[in-house]
Amino acid sequence: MLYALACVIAPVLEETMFRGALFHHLRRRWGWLISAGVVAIIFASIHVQGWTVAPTLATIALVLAAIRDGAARSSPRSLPTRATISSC
Amino acid sequence: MIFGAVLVLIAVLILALGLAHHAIILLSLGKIRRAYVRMPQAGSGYLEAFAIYMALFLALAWVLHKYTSGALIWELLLLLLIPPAMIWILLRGSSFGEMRRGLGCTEVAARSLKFAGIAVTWPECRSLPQCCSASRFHWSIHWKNAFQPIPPDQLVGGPGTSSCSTHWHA
Repeated sequence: MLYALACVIAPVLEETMFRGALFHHLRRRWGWLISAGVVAIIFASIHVQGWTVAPTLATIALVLAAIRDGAARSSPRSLPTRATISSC
Repeated sequence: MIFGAVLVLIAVLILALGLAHHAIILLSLGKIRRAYVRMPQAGSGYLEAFAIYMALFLALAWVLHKYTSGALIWELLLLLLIPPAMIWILLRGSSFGEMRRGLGCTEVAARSLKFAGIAVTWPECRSLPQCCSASRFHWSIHWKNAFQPIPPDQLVGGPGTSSCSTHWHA
């Protein structure tokens, strides 16, 4: 159950809403760095694992935003990437 | 085991660096390009959908914390937060196809997700038939012995079998 939550449910939710809705909105207005930075800060803040892991989460969010930015036209490759990161 | 895991991690790191290097070269050659085009006049439906998601997420998290035992199964309810956000985007004037592209809900994503789900739950799925057969075996023994007389020395709590024997003798 924990695996399913961490590797399927959380990636679906977060990729749909963070790298989907929020990043999509910000990216149409601003450049990649600002959009990805804002999404990364919110993404790291909302997780309850503590502030010590916030830089790691923000880095993961930046990488996923980069993947989403480069792949938005073909396919959201950030979703399987996120699932793989969670499974590790 | 640990040595193997370290080797796998190093291999993944080398692969990631190689792919990043490849992507930088392709980007500099113009073979790939950024997907997003600036649209400053675009509507704010996606931002509002995200705000709705966050509000519902916090409300649901509070309700789950307050009224449930904290079992992980309740967190599946979080999936119900996506449809309201999608509906809001549609109500704000986006077409269904545009919404799917914006949120990243494509067929490729669904297929990738299906395989990822199978991959991550594979250990549990693999042990499921064993669990079923083990419980079937247990219950068949139970039902087979249900109508048989049990010898007194095999009774649970019988003489010399547990701490209950003290009470037994007393």
